[in-house]
This record gives sequence, structure tokens and C-alpha cells, in this order.
Amino acid sequence: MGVLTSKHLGHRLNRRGFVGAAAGAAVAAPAFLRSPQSALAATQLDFTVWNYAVDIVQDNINRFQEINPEITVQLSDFGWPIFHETMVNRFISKTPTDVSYNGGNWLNEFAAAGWVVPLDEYFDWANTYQDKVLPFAWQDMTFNDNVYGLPYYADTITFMYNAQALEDAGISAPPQTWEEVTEQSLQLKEGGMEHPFVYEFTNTLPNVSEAFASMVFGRGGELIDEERNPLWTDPESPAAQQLHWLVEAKNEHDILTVMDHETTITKAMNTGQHAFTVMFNYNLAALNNAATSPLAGQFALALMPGETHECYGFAKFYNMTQMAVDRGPEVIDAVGNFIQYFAGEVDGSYPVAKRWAVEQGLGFAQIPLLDDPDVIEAYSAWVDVPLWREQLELARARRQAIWYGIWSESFHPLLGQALNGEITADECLQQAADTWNELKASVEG
Amino acid sequence: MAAPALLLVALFTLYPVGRALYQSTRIESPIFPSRFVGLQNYRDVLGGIYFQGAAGTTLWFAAVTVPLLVILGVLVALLLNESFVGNAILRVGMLLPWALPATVAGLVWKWIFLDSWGALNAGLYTAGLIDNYIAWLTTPDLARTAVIVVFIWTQLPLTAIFLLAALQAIPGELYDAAAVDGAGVFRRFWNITLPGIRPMLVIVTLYAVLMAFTNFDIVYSLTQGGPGTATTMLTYFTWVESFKKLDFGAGSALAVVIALASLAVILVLVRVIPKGALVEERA
Repeated sequence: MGVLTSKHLGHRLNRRGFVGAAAGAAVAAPAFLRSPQSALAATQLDFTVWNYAVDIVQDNINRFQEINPEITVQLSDFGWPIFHETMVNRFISKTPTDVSYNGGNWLNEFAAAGWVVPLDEYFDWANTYQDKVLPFAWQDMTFNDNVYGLPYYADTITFMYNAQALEDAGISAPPQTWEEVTEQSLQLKEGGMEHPFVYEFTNTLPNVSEAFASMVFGRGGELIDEERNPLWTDPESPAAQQLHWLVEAKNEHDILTVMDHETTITKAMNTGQHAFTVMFNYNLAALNNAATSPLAGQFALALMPGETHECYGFAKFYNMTQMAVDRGPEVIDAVGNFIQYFAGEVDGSYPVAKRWAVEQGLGFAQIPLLDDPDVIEAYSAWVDVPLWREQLELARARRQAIWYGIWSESFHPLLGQALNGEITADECLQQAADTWNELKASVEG
Repeated sequence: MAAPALLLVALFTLYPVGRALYQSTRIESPIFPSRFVGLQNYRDVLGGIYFQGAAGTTLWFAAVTVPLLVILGVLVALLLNESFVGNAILRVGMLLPWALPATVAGLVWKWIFLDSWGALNAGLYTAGLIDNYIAWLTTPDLARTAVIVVFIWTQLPLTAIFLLAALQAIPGELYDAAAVDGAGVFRRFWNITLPGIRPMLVIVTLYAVLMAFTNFDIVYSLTQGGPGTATTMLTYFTWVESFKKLDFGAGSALAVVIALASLAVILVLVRVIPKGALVEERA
């Protein structure tokens, strides 16, 4: 379809003709604006993120556009608690989305629905990153032996404590097991700290079950077996034991309180009323940020309590969507350039991942960054780097299932009810297993 | 002339209702195969423990908030009907909570109720009224109370303004005559004010019932249905089923159930309200 000009319209155009021509132009405009063949129009990518540090995301986009002037990126951001349903609705309604954030917890679901596509089927370079990315992160980005993304960031869910509070209470070392967490918490409670352990929990927070998994990993456990059957139905399983620990800590020992978000907990920890928490590791950078935290410098990392000290490691990554593929090869190439710039190697470095690590303390999966002096220097300001690396080596990804995201929406209220004392830990575990098995049967037959 | 209007009604009312009814008889999910299941969604949601809990919470919430809202609405309207300095400013100012979107109200109050650094705890602690911070939003009973407080705060202005309008329509001569007859404040209220605002009381009660049954925004922004399921009401539960668990069939079945329940409550209310409560009967 041609482009309408004043010459086409002509000076004899009457009112009806003008309206018709305008309508035609309106219909033609979107096709023209998004046409990759047009010499005038750049290829536009619609990029969807959850709203963490959006100003930095936009600045990264600006830098990308400077060196890729043929590509423009339209950013849309949404709250983390509603990201899952937002993306589902965008995919179902075919709202333009070419590249988006995603996580291992939703990859199976999105890939099985055909909403996101494997990178290695479109880009030869995708698999070359396998040796340059931490194994748990690579696993988190993989579904059915295909890799679907490169990491925006990769991190661990870790155990953090207020070292000053422990020292003041005469506690010489952080807890090594969950039993020691209880003992130390009771000791702190006797000294006047009402709830030493603060636990990030709310029904809608996607990472509640991930934090739970991390604590289970500390005990050397898993949530599901290789056939995707729940393991927590065994009362001796690490998952069952950890859930009992949480419920008893809240209702029996009264040493645990819940708060709805990491930012809330960061502020709460800085009141000095809490000593222990389990959160995404990058929150330790916020806790020890002297510019925003009154108690900065008091907080430290400890290996996840439990027999093995393992923890949950994950990747959040850039996905290419089926909608991008449907738009044609120019868009696919543009997405490839975009993901390479944002997560891959550019002139021998990883500029965006490094920026997140240095400026925000976000974790990363790109192995070369582990020895980057700038990263080490930045991390040293808020974490014991050798201990952090030890915990990183003990991190592992979680086994996934297509229905995991949906199941977790049922698990969170159950866990909440158990923490409230409205149901027992065993009832919570049984109902969570029933829901899991129903969903598994619905998908697998 | 009526055709375009009917078309709009059909488009925005009949089609969604029809679509919800259709979806409620199917498995409708992006990750499960779509198929007809008859009334299974209704059996599943009505028989589930979550529904029973959410229905109980909704009924309890309505039972507490509706009388509270109506009584407070009458008291505030009576206050605003009096002459005093600042009355005009108060009338305008009190509409502010109602003018705020409910989600904004929820977020504002969340900052007030937060445990470790919320304004309420900070105020109480500073005043020496509490030794330790109170977990307003993470203790089931307190979280329910918090939702009630915010709901009343957002709904009271409109209720009071409606009732104030009804109060101002009562002829002043009636009060003058009653005063001459020696009627006291309570007697004037009982014999003149209450009959005068009775039609509006019915409307306000129906409005309060509907708002209580469809309360979603405040729960969403303040407690997310928690802690656990302590503040999960039917509308929030419907949203979770549809948009968190992606079970649009069950969500639609729930929406149909809520619509029917609301209709039933309103019909019962209309039946029990005495004849002539809404319209003055004349010979």
C-alpha cells in the first residue's frame, strides 16, 4: 500500500472524500509505521519488564539505541506481583510484545503455551553462552533442552542477619541450622527483640515459594522428584520439616513475623527490631547502603542454615516472543541484537549485566564477571565476597513444572493459613499436594 | 431511536453476561485444553473450602459494615445539617475520601497500618500507648478490622451526602411545630427525621450491601486477601481464580454465583422493606 501525500489527495478533495482518505490513511498508518521495509521507519521492539529500577532500564535502552539507530524500543513496565497475569493477558490478547522479562518459574508455562520461543532455534550464538553462564542460571532458562533466554540477572535467595544485634546479644556466630535459628531467636527475644525473624510473605508475591524452596535446599531437599511428584507428603522430607519450622516459629515460639515485600523488610530490619531474614541476595546491598539504611554495615550474609547449606539459584532473563517471530526476520534480528546487547558479550564485556551488578548489587550469571575487578570492588562494600562465592557455588535451580506458577497461587494462601494457625502444617502440606496432583493430572492426564 | 441504546446495552451487558455463562460451563485456561464440563465448575467452586471461607468472610464483612455505614452516615448527615462555622468546608472536605480511587485509599492506609514503620504504630509508640508495634495487617482479626476501617472511610462520605440531601428535603415547619408541641430531640428524630429519610435509608442500605458484596479494590491494595485467606472475599477470590490461577471457567462460575447472590440479597431486602418505604403513599 502506498503512502498518502497531498498530491494524492489533491486540491479538489471534498469533505466526504477527505474523510474517506483520512480513514484510509489511518488504516494504512500502523502498517507503514511498523513496516521493516520502509527506509524511513526503524524497527520497533515492544519490551515488557517488571518495574525494578525502570530509569536504569530506560537508560540502557537509550544506550542500545545509540549504537543501533535502526531499532527503537518501546518500554512497558508492570508491578512484580502482577507480572504473571499481566503477561498472560498480553499474550492471550496479542498485545504487541517482542521481548520480555521472564523467570524459570513461568518459563515452562509460557513455552508450553507457545508464547515464547527458544533462542537456540533462531540464533547460532545462543548455545555458545552455555559455558559462560552459571549452571543453575542456564538450567532455569532451559525448557525441553532448549535455551529460551539470556540472563537479565541471576541471583540466589540467601540468609541474612544483623551481625551487630547478634554480637550485642552475646551470640558469636550466625546460625548453621534451623534449630540454631530458633535458639538464637529465642535468646534475642529474651533480650527484648519481639520477632527476630522477619519473613517475606504475601499471597500475591511470586517469590514466596522460591524463598521456601531456598530454605528447603539448605536442608538438602527438593520440592518435587524427577517425575514431578510432590516430595513434601513425606513428613520426614526437608520440605515438610521446613514448613513445620515456619509454622512453629510463628505460632509456637512467636519469633517470626511476616511482611509483604523486600522493601518493607529492608526498612524494618533497619529499625533494629529484627535480626534474621531470607530474601533475594541483592537486598543485602540495599540493607548495607549507607545512603538509605540507618544501620548500614551491620548486615551480613550467612550460608543458608541446614545440613547442606545449599540455596535456590535462579535467572531472570530476556525472552523472545512468538509475536516477534510472527513479525518477520527483521524483527527477529532486532530482538537478537537487543538480547545480545542486554545480556551477552559486547566487545569482550557484559555492559548491562555489569552495570546492574555494580550499581544495584544484582547478581549475575555471566561467569567472566565473577573476576571483574569493578564488580568485586562494588560487592565488597556490602557482602563478604568469598562467602558470597561459596554460597553461589552451593546454589542450584529448582525442578520445574508447567503448572508451577498456578499451583503457587494456591500454595501461598495455604501457607498463610498455616502461619495464621487456621490450619495445621500437615493440613497445609496435604492440601498443597492435592492441588499439585490435580493440576498435574489435568496437564499430563 | 431505541435501537442504538438497546445495541449498547446488549454489547456491554448482555454479551458479557452471556459470555460469562458460556465460560462457566467450560475449562477455559491458557495451559489446559478447552472443553465443555457442564456444571462441574459450579460444583468445584461451591464445594471448595476456599469458596466457603470467602463466602463466610463476605457475609461477615457485609453484616458488620452495612449497619455501621448506615448508622454513621445518619450521624454525619445530622451533624452536617446543623449550622456551625466551617460547615461548608467540612461538606466539601469530607467528600475527598470518596473521590479517591479505592486502590489509592488502600495504599494510603497500608502506609498507616504497616507493622514496623507504619504511621499508626509510630504514633501509638511515640505517645507511649504501646510497647511493641502491632501487626495490623498480618494478624487475621486486625487485618479484617483494617479492611472495614478503610471501607467505611471510603464509603461514608457518599452515604452521608445522600442522607444529608434527604434531611434537607424535610420541611422545617414540621420541626417548628414539634418544638411548639414540646417534642424533644429524640422524639423529633424518631417521628420526623426518620420517616423523612426512610426512602433514602433504603437506597443507602441497598447501595451499602452492593458495595460490601463487590468490595475488591481495598482488599487488593491493602491485604491481598491475607494474611492467609483472612480477608479474601468472593470478588477477590474470583479474581484469583481467573487471573492468578488462570482458571477462567471457575472464575466465571464464581462471578455468576456472586451476581445471583447479590440479586437474592437485594430481592430479600426489597421484600422485607415495608410498603411505602420508598414511595410516599397518597390517598
